[in-house]
Amino acid sequence: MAFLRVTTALLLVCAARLGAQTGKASEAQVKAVFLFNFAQFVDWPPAAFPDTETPLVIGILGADPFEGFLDQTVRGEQLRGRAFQVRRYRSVEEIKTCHILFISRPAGDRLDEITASLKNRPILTVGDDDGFAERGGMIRFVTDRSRIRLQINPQAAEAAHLTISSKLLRVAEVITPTGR
Amino acid sequence: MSLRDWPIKRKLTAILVVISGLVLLLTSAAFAGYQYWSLRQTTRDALSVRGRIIAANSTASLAFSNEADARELLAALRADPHIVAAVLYDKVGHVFAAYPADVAGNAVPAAPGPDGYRFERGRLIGFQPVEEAGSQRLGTLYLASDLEAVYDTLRLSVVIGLAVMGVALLAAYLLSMVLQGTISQPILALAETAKAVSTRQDYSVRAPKLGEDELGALTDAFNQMLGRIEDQKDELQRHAADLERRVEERTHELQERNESLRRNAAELLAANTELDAFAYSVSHDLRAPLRSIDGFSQVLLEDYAAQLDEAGRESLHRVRAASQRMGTLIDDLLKLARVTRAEMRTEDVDLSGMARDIASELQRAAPERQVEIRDCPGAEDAGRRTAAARGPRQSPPQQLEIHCEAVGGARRIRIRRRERRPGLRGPGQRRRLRHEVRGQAVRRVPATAFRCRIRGHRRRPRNRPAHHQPARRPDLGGRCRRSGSDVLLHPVMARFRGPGGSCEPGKDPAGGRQP
Repeated sequence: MAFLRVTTALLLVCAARLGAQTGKASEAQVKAVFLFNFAQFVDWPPAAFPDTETPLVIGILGADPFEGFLDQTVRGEQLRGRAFQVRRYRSVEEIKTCHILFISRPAGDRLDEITASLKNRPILTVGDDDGFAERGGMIRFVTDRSRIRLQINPQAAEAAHLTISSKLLRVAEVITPTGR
Repeated sequence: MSLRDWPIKRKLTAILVVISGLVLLLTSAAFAGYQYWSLRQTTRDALSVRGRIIAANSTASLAFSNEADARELLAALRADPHIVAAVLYDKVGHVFAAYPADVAGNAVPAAPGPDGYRFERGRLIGFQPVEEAGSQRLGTLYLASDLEAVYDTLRLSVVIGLAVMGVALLAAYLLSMVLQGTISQPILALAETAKAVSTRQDYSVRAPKLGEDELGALTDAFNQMLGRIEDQKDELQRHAADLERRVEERTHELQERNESLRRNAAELLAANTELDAFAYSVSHDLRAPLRSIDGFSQVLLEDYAAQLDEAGRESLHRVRAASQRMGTLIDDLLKLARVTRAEMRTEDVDLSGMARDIASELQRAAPERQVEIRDCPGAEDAGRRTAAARGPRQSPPQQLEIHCEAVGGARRIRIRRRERRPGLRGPGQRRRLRHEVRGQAVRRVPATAFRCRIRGHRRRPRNRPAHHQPARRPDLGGRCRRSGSDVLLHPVMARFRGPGGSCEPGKDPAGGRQP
């Protein structure tokens, strides 16, 4: 009988840990899926893809918060015949060909520099820092009561010659940068 | 009233209306079936289009997990009252958003089914994949629509169809009432004519011809038949009238002949009466000279006997005897005249007794003559005797002979039945006995004809002058030697002529004469 109680207690503890892990991983997973989904609702200028074989590159500047979920999400996926590729960058200078760039929080301090250096390049910048969209970023993940909402700066996207689908705009909060 | 007893007008109208109704019904049924099928297709296509639009619009909601946006999208479906439920499932099949918001969990499927649209339990349901062009599937849209739209349209179609059918049937009825006349009118006219013919026996009526179709031909044939019947009837009537006229002519002719016969008979009767009167007067007139002859002969014999020799006296005696006999004959003639004038009655007579009386009278008149009279009893007795002797099948004697010896000669009267039977011709039957009367009273012999023979033979005077020869009677046939008073024959002959008998002259084997 005692053995049964111990086993039950152990099982309960394991379940609780697993649930906590699932909830935490869920946010990273959702963000990874969102990053992947952005590709479906954004159109890049033709110059962004030198040829038809050019893969769609999702870059991560700074630390990788996705715990491998991004690689997992894009593995084997294709968009209009293009494969997905995940690249990780430590500095802006490393960025050559990139279509979606997730700017991680540690790099957030230098955000103005980064956006200035990436200005007019057809790269969709995504981040989750406060005021990311207002400060030149294009899409920001907002975590609101365990939900992730989107903030979009269409002017920045327009400046980078990117076309964001109205469907995407409909499900997001449109931000107009001030003080520029 | 059964269908086959309906008037032809009603039959035609009913047939036309029934056919029209059937055609309309079949057409309406086919149209309604087609409409139902096409409505279902249309409804399904419309739901499919709607599903594709919503799915296209809800890609971002699913892609970025925006439930509010998804609910808002689905809420737009309230514009269509026939959409009963709509659900968006996410990539893994969980319910993401539902319409209406308070829909019961068991009213919608817990997980998406196979893609496509289909009719299930009186509803149209469909599962539409939600995906952005050229990328992976984001989720599934479920839509459920009731079929009230279909049924509403169908109901309206049925109502319109019924109204159209009613109007069409009314039009068909009115048209058939008008158009059936082209068929029924000639038939009715024919029937009317046939009825007139049968009730009034009038074959002069003719059915009116209303067209050149088969009914026109029928009318022609009917009229021709009527004409033929009329001709034949006329002919029959002519024949009947002719026959009647001929019968009348014949009747008239017969009447004329009857009249002529009656006149002849009356003339004959008058002649006969005249003859009788003549005979009567002649008889009276003859008496006076005869009496003179007898009287003067007597005077001669009494007063002049001395002057006459024996021969003269003998002659005078003979003259007297002859004149007396002549007187007797005249008396007989007068009797005869009385007899013939008397009414003839038929009654039973005893021929045997009559024969005996005659015999005794003869005996008395000539007592010097030896007459043997053999008598036989009445006919019945004789018949019975013969029947007893010969057996029960023997009929009564068929012959009846009367032999009578008249004054101055033998006389035999034989009366026998004319019908001879072989069985009666035995010697016993053919015996002729003098003064014998055999048989029965004349009228009791059951025969239709009798033969009467009166035979007399008498010594003729050898030296009779030629003018003393008996007169010839051509009407009695052959030579007829009469002696004594032949006048006696007349009543006998008359008797036999009377009761259906006949009396005719014939040959007598014994040399006598037969009337």
